[in-house]
Amino acid sequence: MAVNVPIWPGSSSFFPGDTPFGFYDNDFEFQQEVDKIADWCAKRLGYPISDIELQPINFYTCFEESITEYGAQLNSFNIRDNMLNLFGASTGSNLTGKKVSSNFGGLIEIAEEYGTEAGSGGNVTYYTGSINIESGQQIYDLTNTSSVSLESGTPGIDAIEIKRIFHEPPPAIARFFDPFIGSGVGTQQMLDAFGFGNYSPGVSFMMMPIYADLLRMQAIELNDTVRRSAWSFQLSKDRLKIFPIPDGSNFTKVYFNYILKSDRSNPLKGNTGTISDYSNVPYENVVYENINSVGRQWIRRYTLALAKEMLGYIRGKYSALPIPNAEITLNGADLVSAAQTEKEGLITELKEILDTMSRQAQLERKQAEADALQSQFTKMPMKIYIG
Amino acid sequence: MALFGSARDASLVRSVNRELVNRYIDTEVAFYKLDLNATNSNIYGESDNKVYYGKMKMPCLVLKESKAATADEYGLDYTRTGTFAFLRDDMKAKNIIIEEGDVLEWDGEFYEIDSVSASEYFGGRNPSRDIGFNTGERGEFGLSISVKCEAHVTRRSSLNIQELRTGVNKESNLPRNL
Repeated sequence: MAVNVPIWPGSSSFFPGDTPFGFYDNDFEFQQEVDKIADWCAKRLGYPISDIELQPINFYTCFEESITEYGAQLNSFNIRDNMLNLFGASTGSNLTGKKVSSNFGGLIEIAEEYGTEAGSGGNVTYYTGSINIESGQQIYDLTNTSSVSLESGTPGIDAIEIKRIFHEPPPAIARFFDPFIGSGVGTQQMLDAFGFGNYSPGVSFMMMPIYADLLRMQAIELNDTVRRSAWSFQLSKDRLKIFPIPDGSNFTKVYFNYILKSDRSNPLKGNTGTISDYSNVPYENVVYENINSVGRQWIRRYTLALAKEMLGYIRGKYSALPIPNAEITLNGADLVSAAQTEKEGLITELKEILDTMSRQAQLERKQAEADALQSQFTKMPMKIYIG
Repeated sequence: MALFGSARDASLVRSVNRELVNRYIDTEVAFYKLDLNATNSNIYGESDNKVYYGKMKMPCLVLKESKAATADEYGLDYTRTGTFAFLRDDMKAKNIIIEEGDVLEWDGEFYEIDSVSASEYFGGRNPSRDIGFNTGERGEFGLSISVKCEAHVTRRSSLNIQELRTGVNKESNLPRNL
């Protein structure tokens, strides 16, 4: 018994489950439209003048794919436009059909590495470590586990990078008497001269400018630099050289901040389960009933192009078909060619439309509008004031 | 195991053929089946009084050759041959078997069939005779496309299909110069 595969019978009746993926099968609007789409496509392809070697499920498949393609283009555009706003957000919430607000999260994320190096925030932890200072010993090995203590990591094993060494002279402000006490700066004599010397504290009557303090501190620091051994250090690879040579009385430890190099080079600094790239931005299939008429028309046209392509492949599977006492060539190649052109055109059209709606494009448009408006205003006649 | 020319593909070919032959081209010929039971023959199996069943309209593709004139001691005459190709599946569905001796009427002429062949296959095989298919070793592949008849124009006077020279010929059968 010969197999007779049915072809388009002239009408169809959709039932949920008839599409390959079933993404939209339970969408009421989809159910309302899918048979009309099949009918429209068949008629656009020449039915009932010519047979259409497709079945209703072929048209349903094309329709489903068209909606999915439309959604994919839309979601792709949204991801592109919002990627910087989406980095690090949760992958758990569906973003389809939702407005994504701008934020600096992604931008700051990018800048954090600079913050780390600059010592102003960042995403690498600054740990504290210390070296035990020995009297008379000027040079210290930072890999020495007996003299070096690290908050995290082991000296000599974990590569560290020292960010700051707390080896500085006492502040100059601590090196002279508080001017409000009035001593040490020769102000008492001045107060006596003015007749305030008998008051206690007589300095209550004295107002000194702040620059007097600053000048005094600068003088102390300059004096230390020029006349005394400076408090300094030299860091070279694992070796720390301390100035002046410690005598064991002024300090017994030198503290420092450091980072673990492994922390800095660790690329996985963010939380897991967050948006990391294009592939895990939580956009799902669009909801068909929410698509407006503009989008639906694009979907119809794309459905037709897909159906045409499918029909072309069917008709073109064999280059020539035998008929009684002859052979014929069907229009498969023409259909495929036309369909591919239509598909490319539709995709390009959709992409161009979406591109005009990017944040950047909208801002440029607003700027152009404002510029044009300003230009128009400049052409308005100026009012002449007659006094 | 064949890969191409499956029953599904054959169905497509059948569908295209039906559309083309029955709907697009739609050339119909009248088929007169020889009634062997009603035809009396002599001891040699010859008969000058053949009887045919009533005509059936059947779509087919016709290749009509040019007329060839002949002249002999009986006067002028002409011969013509034609090829009539039918969709085999349609014939099968209607249970029609075309054989040599049957008559086809087309374009005002009657053609007596000289030979019948059905050897035009899609995918190179006829599923009815495909050993693998018929022994159940594989599915259905291929399709027998056509029944092709080679025929020649015959005199209608010998056919007893139309009444001739009775004096009450139908208007359409009158010679043009009368």
